[in-house]
Amino acid sequence: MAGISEAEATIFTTITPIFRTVLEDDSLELTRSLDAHQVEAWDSLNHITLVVELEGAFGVQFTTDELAAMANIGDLVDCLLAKGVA
Amino acid sequence: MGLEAPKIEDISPGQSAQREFTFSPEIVARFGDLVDDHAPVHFDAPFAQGQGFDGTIVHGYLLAGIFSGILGQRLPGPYTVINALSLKYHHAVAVGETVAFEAAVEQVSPAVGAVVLRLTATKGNGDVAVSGRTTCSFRTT
Repeated sequence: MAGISEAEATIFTTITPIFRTVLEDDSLELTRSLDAHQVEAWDSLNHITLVVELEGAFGVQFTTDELAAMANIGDLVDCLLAKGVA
Repeated sequence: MGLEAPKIEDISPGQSAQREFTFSPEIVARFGDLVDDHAPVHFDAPFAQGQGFDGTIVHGYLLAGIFSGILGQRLPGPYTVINALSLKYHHAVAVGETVAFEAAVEQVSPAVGAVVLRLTATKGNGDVAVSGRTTCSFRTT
């Protein structure tokens, strides 16, 4: 992925299979601008599963404020970077 | 374990709830009637033996159903619903057999009110009959 840091690329490598599995779309390509409105399967129940799986994969916990501030994948990646996961 | 309608802040990894259940012929018959599954492997011993079992075996969905009582009434309790569930069946359970069921908390995600639990059903001989994982979420906290 051009134009992003190694740490960011590592996060994308980890989160892509999680999103593909939870949203049942093996061809889903994650970009910083992707959000729930662009993916039909990204409903409220799958959102809960995504958060659970991401927290488990990275060994972190998100706060409600952090989740509320996340508008897209880029915000998620930035939050994970801020938590020092990569 | 004394948990009465726990809230998410009461739940932490490592907590567990257990129940033993005996699958009597009457229970298996009632379940077969309820779901209209009278497959001979559950009710016809010679047929089941012909399939390689020692005798009739319990419905897989009946085994799964016992977890419902643990999850819904004890851990994570009545404030939650199931979001996701996956189970694997390893060993058949004979009609009349007693099985130990356990739900153990693996992960708590307070921001979305979710609890992940490992599910295990163990036969009297120590064989794991069913194992799996579920995610439950709190509707209100």
